Amino acid sequence: MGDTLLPQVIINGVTLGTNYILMALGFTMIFGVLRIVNFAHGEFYMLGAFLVLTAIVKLEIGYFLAAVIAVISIGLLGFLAEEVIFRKFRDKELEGMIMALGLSILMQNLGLVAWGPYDLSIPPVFTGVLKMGSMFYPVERLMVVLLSFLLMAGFYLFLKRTKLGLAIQAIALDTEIARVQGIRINRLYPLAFAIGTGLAAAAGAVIGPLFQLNPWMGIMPQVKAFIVVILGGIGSIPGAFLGGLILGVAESFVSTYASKAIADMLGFILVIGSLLFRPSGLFGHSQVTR
Amino acid sequence: MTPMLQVEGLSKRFGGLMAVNQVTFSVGQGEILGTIGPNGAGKTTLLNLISNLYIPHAGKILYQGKNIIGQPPYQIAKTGLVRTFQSTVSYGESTVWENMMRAQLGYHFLGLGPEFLMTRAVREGKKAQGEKAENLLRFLGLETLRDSQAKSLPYGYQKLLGLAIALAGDPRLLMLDEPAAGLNHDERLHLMSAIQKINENGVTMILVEHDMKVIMGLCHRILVLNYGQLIAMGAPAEIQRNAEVIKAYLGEDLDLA
Amino acid sequence: MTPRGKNFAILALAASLFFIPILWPDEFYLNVIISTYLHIILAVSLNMVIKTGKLSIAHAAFMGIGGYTSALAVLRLGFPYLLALPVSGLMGAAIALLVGRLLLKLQGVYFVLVTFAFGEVVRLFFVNLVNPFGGPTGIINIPPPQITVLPGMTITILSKASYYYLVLAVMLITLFVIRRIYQSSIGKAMDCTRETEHLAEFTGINTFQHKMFAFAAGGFFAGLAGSLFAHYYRYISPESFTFWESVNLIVINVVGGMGGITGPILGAIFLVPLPEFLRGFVEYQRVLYGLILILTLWFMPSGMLGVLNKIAEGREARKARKETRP
Repeated sequence: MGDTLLPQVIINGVTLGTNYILMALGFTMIFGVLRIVNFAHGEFYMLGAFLVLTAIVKLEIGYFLAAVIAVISIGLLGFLAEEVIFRKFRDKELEGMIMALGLSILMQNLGLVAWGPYDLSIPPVFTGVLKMGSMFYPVERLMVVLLSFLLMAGFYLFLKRTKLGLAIQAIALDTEIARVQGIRINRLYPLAFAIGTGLAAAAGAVIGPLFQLNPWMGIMPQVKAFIVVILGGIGSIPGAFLGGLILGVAESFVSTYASKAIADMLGFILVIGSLLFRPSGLFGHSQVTR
Repeated sequence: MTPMLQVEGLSKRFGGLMAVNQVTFSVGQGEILGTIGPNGAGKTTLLNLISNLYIPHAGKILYQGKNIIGQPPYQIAKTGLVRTFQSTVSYGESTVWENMMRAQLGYHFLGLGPEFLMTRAVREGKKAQGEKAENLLRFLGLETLRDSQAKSLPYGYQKLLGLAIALAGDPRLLMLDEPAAGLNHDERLHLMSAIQKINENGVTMILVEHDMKVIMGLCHRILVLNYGQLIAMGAPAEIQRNAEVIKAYLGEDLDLA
Repeated sequence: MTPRGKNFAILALAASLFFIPILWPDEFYLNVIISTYLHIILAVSLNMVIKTGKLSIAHAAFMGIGGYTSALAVLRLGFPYLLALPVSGLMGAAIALLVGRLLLKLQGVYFVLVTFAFGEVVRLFFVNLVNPFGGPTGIINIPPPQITVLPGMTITILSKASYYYLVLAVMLITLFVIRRIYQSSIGKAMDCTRETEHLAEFTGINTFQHKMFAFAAGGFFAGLAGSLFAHYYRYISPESFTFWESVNLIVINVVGGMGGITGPILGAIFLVPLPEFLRGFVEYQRVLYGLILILTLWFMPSGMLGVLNKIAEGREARKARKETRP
């Protein structure tokens, strides 16, 4: 048993990690570029999953088409949200954060009104189990990891290879300098927010089929996104990757060899430690203490 | 007589950049020392180091003979070393009068217990602070503006209010961070006469400035920084003729005459 | 109104509160009012922390610390309630002092995030330690407060009316103390710290001390509220002290307005009874709650207090204009 346990734990950790990374990417971009602590990020994730379900059931289309529709719709929603709501709080970090909190409460409960409190599920897309040596790995899980990697790769290429992506990175690094270089901040803020929320929705669409859907399903992923972003460094993409991976694997190990209880606490203790002793995280910029 | 301030071998690094590099100088009692240098020369960093906003990597800062490195800023202010800020000059939302009362809070705070109980000592202290506020406003010609909101004042008056706030603690060494920035001709004259008056009352001053008229008109000695290093120090007339200084400012739109 | 007139009005209002259980003995309403009073204690003490510029979402955690301390002190250590109550407060303050030393060094949203993490660690602590905290099921059968008025004469605070007076007393003391702090130089120094921290620091104000004091005092009153909570509902669990509770206290401050103690009082009076009177529409309750928060931030950033102040200012201005008219 000891032979297969370790690799299994690692694989579980990596799977978990990719889930976390996906959530963290959108969140860190929104925080890094717009300086908004998007407390509603988990709700965009939740809406993504629910929209996929609704599209499959009501429009009777396939999973992949439904996912695309969901992501684009949520992206649009995010664009509007920044343009209409968050624009007012662009220089006021704390008020913006509380506004995001209000949005989170609103969205959760609108979701409750729309879809009810009971768990729903997206009909499974992939079935079967892959046998690797003496380990078993559900195909569904594998596809989730694959799709997640595709999304991450796409996002990375977008940031590094497109003009838009580079402009967004510039704003994250230094808003004033970006402005001086002629980057139209007012145009890009809503776009950046849209991409961030689109990523959250994509995470919801991809990971949704694995779990049950309910209006509060976004809370845990949101918390994990927080933790990953703080550990990896706010606004840092490589940080989100590394932080997500580390958190996923660490939790898998602690959960298996110690207890789930300690695994739950682990993330928060790491956050506190990180904020106090290495505030810029693994890769971020130090702007945390005076 | 012990110099008011002695700085020895002061250095501060930011990443790979030496913002302040082995700076040594002293300031005598009653002097007005000007600090000039091109943009990015390290003037404000030097000020931030002396007021303990930053911690130096090397060197000593002796205020009235004692090393003050590591002391929290509020404590340094209480011993008479006060500085102003270029950006946040006053409590914008409050009136001029409230600003003067707030400015004295820290120096006369008698402790959490007595302040909560509002003991007689506290109440009498408040009365004395009121008188002092009135005196300081009069000293700087602001007494008619006492009920105006600070952020609604014309910029020149805001700067004077900043000076008044700095004086609230009876400073012995006052460090001003670009006090003349953004002032018009009349406001500048008003400021210069105020600084003159303050110095005549025995306050030693360090003036970080870009405005050469202010520097040349007020300072007893001038210190010149470039790339974090001290390149010249002396009387205004010497500095004006100094080749190093002129070279440092080449390319800058500056009139040293 | 003159300061003396204002003080008299406040005393009259406070005195009138003593008559409520007599005039309005309905158990349902008393329950709502008691809950409102508890939230006032919590919201006003949080207001003090916010007054130094620190937005804490760990306030419910300190309430939990107080609640568990009180329950265990009475059940396991046999403390009389009049001792358990202040001890709960002191425990909240002690832990606040301990962690505040580190946490308060963080600025802006980072402070918010670290208090969030801290609150979760405390909650998970309670969830996972079955002994002595009872784990996820918490502690049940917490006895009602027993107060020895005279040797041999003990009152058991069991009825809603009697509990009302206990909570009222603690609330009035809390409000009196915090109001006093706000009126003193301590409160002014807190304002300076929040508005322009380096100006405060460089005019001799020990800003760190004031932040620590506010945080510790906040922890103290939250602990008191926790104790009252535990012995009123006679049952506590980690679910009573979640992040959402802390958020609720912030919402009360935002909606009510954060200037002074009147703001959170107004906020609590408006928001706490709301769900009780919307019993029929549970789902829409929370939607409304989210909407209220969003609309307040959008249209009334200074909260209800800000609106009332504007109305008062408008009245003053109209009066002044009338007087200067020829």
